[in-house]
Amino acid sequence: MISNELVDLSRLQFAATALYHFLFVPLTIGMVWLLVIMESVYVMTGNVVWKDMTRFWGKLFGINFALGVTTGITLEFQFGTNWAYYSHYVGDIFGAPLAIEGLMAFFLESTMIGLFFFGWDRLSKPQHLLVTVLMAVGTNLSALWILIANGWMQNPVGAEFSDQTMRMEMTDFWAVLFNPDAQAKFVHTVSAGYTTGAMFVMSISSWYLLKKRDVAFAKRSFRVAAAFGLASVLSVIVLGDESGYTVGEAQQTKMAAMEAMWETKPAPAGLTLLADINEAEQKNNWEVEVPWVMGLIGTRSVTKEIPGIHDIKAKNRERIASGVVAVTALEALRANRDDAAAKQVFERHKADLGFGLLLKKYVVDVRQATPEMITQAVNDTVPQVTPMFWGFRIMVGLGFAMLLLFGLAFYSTLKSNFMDKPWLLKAALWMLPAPWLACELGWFVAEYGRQPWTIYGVLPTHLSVSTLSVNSLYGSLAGFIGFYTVLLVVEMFLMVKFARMGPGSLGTGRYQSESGSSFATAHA
Amino acid sequence: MKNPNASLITKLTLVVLVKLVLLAGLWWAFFHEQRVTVDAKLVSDQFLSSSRASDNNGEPP
Repeated sequence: MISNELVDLSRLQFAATALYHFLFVPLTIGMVWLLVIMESVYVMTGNVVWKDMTRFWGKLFGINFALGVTTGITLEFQFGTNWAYYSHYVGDIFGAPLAIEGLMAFFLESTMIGLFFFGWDRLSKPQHLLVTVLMAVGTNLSALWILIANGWMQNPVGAEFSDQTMRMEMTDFWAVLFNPDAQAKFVHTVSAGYTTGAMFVMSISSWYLLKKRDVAFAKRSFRVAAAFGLASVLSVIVLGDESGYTVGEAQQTKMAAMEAMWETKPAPAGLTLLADINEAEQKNNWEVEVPWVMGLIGTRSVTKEIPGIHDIKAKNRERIASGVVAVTALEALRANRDDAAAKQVFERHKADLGFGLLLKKYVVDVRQATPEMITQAVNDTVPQVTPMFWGFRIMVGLGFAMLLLFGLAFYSTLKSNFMDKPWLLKAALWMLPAPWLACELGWFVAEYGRQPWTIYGVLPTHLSVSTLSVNSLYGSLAGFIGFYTVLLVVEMFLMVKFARMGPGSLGTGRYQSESGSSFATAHA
Repeated sequence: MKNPNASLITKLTLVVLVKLVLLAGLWWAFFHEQRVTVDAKLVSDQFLSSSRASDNNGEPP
């Protein structure tokens, strides 16, 4: 039997490193397009302040990239070190997008980043702009392939289990590539990154404006970030709705947990805004509901029902029983490859193989599972409702708060009066952590909501881990947390240092933070 | 007049070629003969019980 402590520690280690990694990623994804916009204006107008903006924000982008990349590399290694059975079972499919990401996107991104920083004096203006665009494309392609891999974990299409090799094998690469779950996650996630980049630039620009320093530089940065941020946050919300729809189609347990929907409601279901969740009795003590909305979001129809947790569990109980048959038939097949009757039985039940394997958490031979064990496995199929429900709502609430902020900021830039609104500048400054918090919560909902599976409906989490010692996991977990905390502190230190220095850190002699400069005031 | 970018492009092309040759060399020297074998038995032992199927080929009694 696999120890639960081992599974929990492996999950904690991956979750901790992934959440650390995603502190850096969205800023990289978002800022790179802001650099493209700024440099494009420089190339078109020849106004050197736009070049300075590209170089200064590019410097902060570079700090983030250098520290962020290192945190991502360990994640890929963990699939081998901590999730060896996972890698064996699904590596043929999961490994392909990761490899393509490295070869196609990361190499492109890394090469162009070198040219971006060292090519200013050696490349012509259009050539350098092309480099910046390619850097942005590389960054976003990187996100695409990672999210194709992740999307397959949520909705494993284009693959089939082979009883001969005892692993999943790809049957349709294009189905994996155009997996609706992956595509929806990609556009939603990169839009969240764009919002993060815009918030970062707008917040720091607001701080300069509140301090009345480098005003010309900060005003332009604020305008770009406000416009880009508004478009991005609108995309996040619209594409998040699409992502919600794909979840409703492919992951009913996640949807039901996110909505604290214990019972199947008549179509179209209402959206529960707030609820007092009673996990013990599996009900909501009270709830505030908006009629119809959930049905429209989750099913795009007024007649389709969204199943509640109790109905899902009843269905999963049947699937676990069917899965036990699949496991038993598979054992017979493994013992005798020519057993045609076992093959026939297995083919009939193999869609539920993963459900049968859920019982391996409680018993070695799944046929010996007691009714209590089966009930435990059935309960496992739905994640804890409270963290899902509130995690999702806080994320959405932050999204709408950012929409309001970017909307006001953009309107003020159109009116050219944002300088006269210190409350707006202060709000932009204080909202700086919001996109990070929303991104982390989004990943929490996506990944915690996938439990108890690593591959939804196919491979249970507790069967995916490597057989490591618990002590080695405690050691490596402490090491990772310590190392990553150091990286985060270094990043914060460098970011704060260069943000405080402002464009004066470029050493052009054109900014207030440099002695003898008069550019900023003259061009305000 | 000589295009100053031509020299840079030549240098960059050379650097990328050298990098590719070095990477190919490393792969050839250390990795090209390595093959990861798919051990179905290992997964079978982990995922399935050791007991064999019953006479009814897995169908529930």
